[in-house]
Amino acid sequence: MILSYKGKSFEIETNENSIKINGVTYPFSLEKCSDNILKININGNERVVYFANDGMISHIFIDGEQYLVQKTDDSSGIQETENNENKSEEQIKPPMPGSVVKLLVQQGQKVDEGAPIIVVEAMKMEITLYSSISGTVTEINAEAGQQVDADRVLVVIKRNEND
Amino acid sequence: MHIEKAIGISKILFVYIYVCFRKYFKLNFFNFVQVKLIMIKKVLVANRSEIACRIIKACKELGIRTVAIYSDVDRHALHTLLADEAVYVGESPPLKSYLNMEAIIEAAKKTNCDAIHPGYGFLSERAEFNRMVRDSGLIFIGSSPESMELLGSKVRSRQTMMNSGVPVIPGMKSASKDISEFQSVAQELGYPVLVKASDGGGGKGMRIVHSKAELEDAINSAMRESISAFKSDAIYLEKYIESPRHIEFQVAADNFGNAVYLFERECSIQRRHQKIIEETPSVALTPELRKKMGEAAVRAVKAAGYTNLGTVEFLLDKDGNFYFLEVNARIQVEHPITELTTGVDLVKLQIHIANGGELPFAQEDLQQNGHAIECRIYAEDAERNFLPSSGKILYLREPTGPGIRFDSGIYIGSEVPIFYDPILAKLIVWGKDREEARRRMINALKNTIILGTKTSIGFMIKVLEHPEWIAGNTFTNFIEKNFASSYSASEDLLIFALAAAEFSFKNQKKIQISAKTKEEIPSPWLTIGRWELSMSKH
Repeated sequence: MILSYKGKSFEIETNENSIKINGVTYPFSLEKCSDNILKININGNERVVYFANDGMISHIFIDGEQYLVQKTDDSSGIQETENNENKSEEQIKPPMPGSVVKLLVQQGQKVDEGAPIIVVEAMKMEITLYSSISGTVTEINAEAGQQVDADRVLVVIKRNEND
Repeated sequence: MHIEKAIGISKILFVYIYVCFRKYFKLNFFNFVQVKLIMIKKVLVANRSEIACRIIKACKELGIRTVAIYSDVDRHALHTLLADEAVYVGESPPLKSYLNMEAIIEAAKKTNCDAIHPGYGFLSERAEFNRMVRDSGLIFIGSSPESMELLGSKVRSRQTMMNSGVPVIPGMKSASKDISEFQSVAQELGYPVLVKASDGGGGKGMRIVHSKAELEDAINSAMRESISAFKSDAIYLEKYIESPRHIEFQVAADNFGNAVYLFERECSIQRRHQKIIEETPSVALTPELRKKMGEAAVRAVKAAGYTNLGTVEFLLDKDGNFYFLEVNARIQVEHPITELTTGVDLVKLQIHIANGGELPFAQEDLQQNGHAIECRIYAEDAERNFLPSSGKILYLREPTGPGIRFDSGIYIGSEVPIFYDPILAKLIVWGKDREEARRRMINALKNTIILGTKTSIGFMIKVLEHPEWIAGNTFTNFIEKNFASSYSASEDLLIFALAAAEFSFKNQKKIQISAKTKEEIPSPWLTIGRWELSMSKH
C-alpha cells in the first residue's frame, strides 16, 4: 500500500511479524485493542496508537503527536514497481527521516547488485541501504551526520551499459 | 441555694435560647433576603461551544433553567444538547446568528427567560446589545452598557485610568489623524512605538514602528484595518514595551460599591496576539507587586463604574513596571485557572451579582492555592502558522485524573465549523506547585485524544517542555523567540503512524465488504465505496 505523509510517499507492506517500509523490513507486531486503539511494536519499541479514518485520510495520535496519513491511489504505486524491473538508474532514499551514519561508496565506484551503499539512522537504529542494480555511483548527496528527509535522494547509481 | 442554682441555670438557658433565636432569625433574615434577591430563573446563553456548555452547567447547579441558541451548522452542537431548550436564531455566518441581536432577544422573550448570559466574544462586550437586552426588560449578566462603552474605547479608558492613578503606557492622550502629531509624540517617546486602533482588539489594527520612516505607512495601514474590522478610523500611538509579560487581574464588583481582585493570570504565551497557554500564579510577581497590581485593578474598575466580573489587563516590563492595557468586560476564556486556585465559581458569581447579590467575600478572605495552567485546544495547524482547521470529530477521549478539568464543546461525531473561533476545548490542570501542574498538563495533553481535525496539542507539549518555559521566561514574544523557524511536528513515531494507517485502511475495506454480504442485495452504489473501487484495480 502506498501512503503519503506531508507529500512524501511511503510504500508499506505488513505481514504477521514484519513490516516493510520503503524496502526496509523491521520486526513488527500489532494488537487491536478497540476500533480506535492499537498496540504496535516495531523493532522492539511499543506504542499505543489512536486512529480514526475519514475517507482517504487516517488521523493518528501517538504520545501527544498527531499524524495525518493519506492513502494514495494504488495504481501509481504498481506502475512504479513495474518500472523498477528494468530501470536504468537507482535512487537511494532513506525509508524514514533520519540521519546519515556512514557512506560506504565513493563517487564513480562500481557496485554490484545487493552491495551496501549507505548506512542511515532512523528510529534509533541503523539501517543499511543496498543497491538493487549493478552499476556506477554517479551522484552522492549525503555526508555523515547529516539530517535527511525521507524523500531525499542520497545516492544515484546508473546501470552499467553492458548489463 | 436552690434559687441561686435555678437562676444560674435559667441564665444559661436564657443565653442559649437567645443565641438560638439570633441564629434562627439571622438565618431567616438571610433566607428572606436571598429569596427576595433571586430573580433569575431562566437564562438564555447567547454563545456556543465550550463556554456555552460551561455556563449551562453552572445554571443547572443553581437550579436555573437554560436556553441555548444555534445556527444552521450548530443544530446538533454540544451546547444545544445540554440546555433545557434550544432555539434557532439564524444561518451559520455569525452576523446572521450569534451576532443577530434581535433574533437572540426575541428567542429569550419567546422562551420566557429573565436573563441573558453573553459568554465571551460575540456580543459579550457590545454595549448596544447590553442596552437592548435591558430595554426589553431582561437582565444582562454583566456590567452596565455605560461602563462598557467607556472601557470599550481604548482612548477614553486610558484617560479614566490616568485620572484615577492607574499607570498607563506613555503615549498620546487621544486619537488623532494628524501625522505630525504622531511624529512628534513618537520622537518624544523614542522608537519603537506602537500604533493602535482605539476600538481594536485581538491584535487587529496594531503596528510596531521601529523608525520614523515606517511611521506614516503604519498609521495608514492600521487605520485601514481598523475601519474594516471595527468601523472606526480612531488611531493613537504609545510607547512600545519590549518583551513584556501579559498579566491580567480578575476582578469582581457588586452593585454596593464592593470590589475585590481574585489575583492574576499570566497569559504571555500567545500566537497571532492571541493567548494559548495561561497560568496562575505568575512567576514574575512578588507578594508586594501582586498586591500593588491587584489594588490598581480594583481602582480601575471602580473608576469606570464597572460591576460584575471583569479582567484588568496589564503589561509588565522587565523592571517590574506595570501598565494598564484594557478591561475585558466579560468572563474570560482562561477563567478556570482562577477558579481552581481560589475555589470561586466565577460564572455563579456573575449570576449572583446580576441577581443583585453582595460579594460573598472580602479581599482578605481570598487566597491563591497551588498552581493552575490552562491550554486552549484549538482546531488549528501549528505547522502552518496556526491556520484554523475544520472537520468532524471522529474520535475523542477526554483526559481524566486528579487535578484535571476539561471544558469542552465537542463530542464524537460533532462538526467543527469554519464560521467561528475554532476552540474545541480547554484543558485546565491544578498542581500543588508549578512543576507538578506542568507535568500534569503534559500528561493530560498526551491523554487528550481528538481525531478528525488538526489540533495544537503537540505544539503545546513542546512549549511546556521548553527550558525557557520551565525557567519561567514567559514573555509575549515567547513563541516567536523560541519557535522562530516555523514549528514542525516531530516525526520520531512516523513509522508507527504509517503502520496504523495501513491497518486502518485495510480494516476499512473489510468493513465495507462485510456490509455487502448481507442477505439483501442493495444498490452497488450504496455499498461500494472508494476502497472497493481501488481494490478492483489489484
